[in-house]
Amino acid sequence: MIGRMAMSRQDEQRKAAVRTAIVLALVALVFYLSFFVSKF
Amino acid sequence: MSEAAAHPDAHHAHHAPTGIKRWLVTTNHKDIGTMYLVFSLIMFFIGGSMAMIIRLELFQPGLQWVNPQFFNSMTTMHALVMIFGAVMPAWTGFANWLIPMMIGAPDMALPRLNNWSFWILPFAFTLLLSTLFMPGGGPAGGWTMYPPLTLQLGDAFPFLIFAVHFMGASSIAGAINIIATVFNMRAPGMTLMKLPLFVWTWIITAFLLIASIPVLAGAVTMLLTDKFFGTSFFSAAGGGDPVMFQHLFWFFGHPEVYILILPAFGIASAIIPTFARKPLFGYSSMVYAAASIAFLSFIVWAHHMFTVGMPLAGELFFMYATVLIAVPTGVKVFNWIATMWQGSLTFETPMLFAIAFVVLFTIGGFSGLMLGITPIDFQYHDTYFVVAHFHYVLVTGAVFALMAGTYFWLPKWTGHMYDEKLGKLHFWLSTISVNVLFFPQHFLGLAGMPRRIPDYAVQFADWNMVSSIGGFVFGASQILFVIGIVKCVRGGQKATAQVWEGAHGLEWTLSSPPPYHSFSTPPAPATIEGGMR
Repeated sequence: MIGRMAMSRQDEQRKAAVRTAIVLALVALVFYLSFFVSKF
Repeated sequence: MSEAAAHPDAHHAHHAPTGIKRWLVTTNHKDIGTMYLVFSLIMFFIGGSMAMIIRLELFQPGLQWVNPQFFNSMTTMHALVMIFGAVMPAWTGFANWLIPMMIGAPDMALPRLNNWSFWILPFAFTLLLSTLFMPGGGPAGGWTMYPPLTLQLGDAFPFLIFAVHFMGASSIAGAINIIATVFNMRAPGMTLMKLPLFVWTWIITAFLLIASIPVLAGAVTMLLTDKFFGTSFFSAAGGGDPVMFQHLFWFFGHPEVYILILPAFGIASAIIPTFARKPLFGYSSMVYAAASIAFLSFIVWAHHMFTVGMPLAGELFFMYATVLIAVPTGVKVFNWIATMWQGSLTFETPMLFAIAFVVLFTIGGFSGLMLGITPIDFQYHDTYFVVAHFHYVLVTGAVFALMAGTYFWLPKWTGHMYDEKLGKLHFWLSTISVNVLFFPQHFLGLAGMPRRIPDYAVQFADWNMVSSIGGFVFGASQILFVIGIVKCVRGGQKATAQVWEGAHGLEWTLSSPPPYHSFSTPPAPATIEGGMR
């Protein structure tokens, strides 16, 4: 039972991690593109 | 409980691929960490061979061994290989191995992304190194890729640009993974201000990567479109500005310096308290100092280009901001010294490398302060003084910290103690020879010897010969490092879980070597409290 709880905690952590990763990747993408936009 | 908790491990045991496939498809942080470290070591030797060619050619004035084009190619490729292929992947290897164990997590948050981050690198460096065999040779305009010089490169140009893009993608993916892991996967009770300093410095490094690598990617994409798609971002004839490239490059380039050195601060902060048998002096000030250094790294970039001609206000701003970095860096150095003060010091190989790191990195810091002062930089710009400065920071700084960290955690990783005598021999040979190699370059620079030249005036001959001898000994002594690692992997005295008497932290609560899957169930908060000091 405790083991299952630990697994679901890990699943929740993984979901949160994916959200964090998407936000960070978007930040990187915006940085990348903003340099072109500002120069055109 | 144990059945459910053991399930993922049992699954792995039944279906784990073996042989080469294990390494190709692995999502295990320890396997990926090992691959990063092995890759980095190979790159150290490739980049090191290029350095040997450079020092061989500079052993005497005149052109002896290679033609100037190839020499320029060696200086350019040596930098690219060492920065992007050796030091950065080595830090990511350390992060992969250590961060999940240090925060009590079972693995990195995004294991498949982790595998991908690593496997991009061999392709990136195959692209880059293949240019050496192309008509026109490899990139030779300096690792800074300034236009218009870099745009004159032949077939190698698109390979260089795509290689840089791949390296950047790998770094960004790795950085995202580390932030996602530390922010979401910490064991209960592992609050941010209980994180080991290595984890803290890596989080800050990861933010630097995410903010700076896209700028480099943007700049090199603009180079690509200038060369092949008729744009004029950096061409004055088309209304562009070549100096703008320098601004963009160094907006990436200066944070990059701290990307290379911040994890080294974390390593020193782990090793020095262990062998001083005292808690780290000023933990929170260490965290704030690292964060301050990271912030300042974004507002000092133009100190790399004082000589392009900028308004006096700009020169003053970048000079003051640059010398301001000495404050948080000084906090760190004083904290390491205060940690050692009245400690029960012993001098095993990791501690020797860590102390050498503190002393020699500080020398690099001082010469950096000299270069940060605008009127002095006008004199020293593009001389061997700059070469001496950044090699003190990156070789006796970053690389020495990597060696310290390798000796420190190798028993944990392999389960065997390394050969201490061999380690000490490696340390003393490296430390003496690296100073013979780089210290005379200060004199050469002050006397006016320019960097990136295959030939020089005869008055520079003596110190160049001394420097080259130091270089050959330093290069050869790294073979001892590899022998030490191979011996340790193959066997030796069994290491205990704690390995070092003064070691504290969650990774030392695991067996040596740690199980393939560690912390499938998070450690108890009491373990975290007990492991921290």
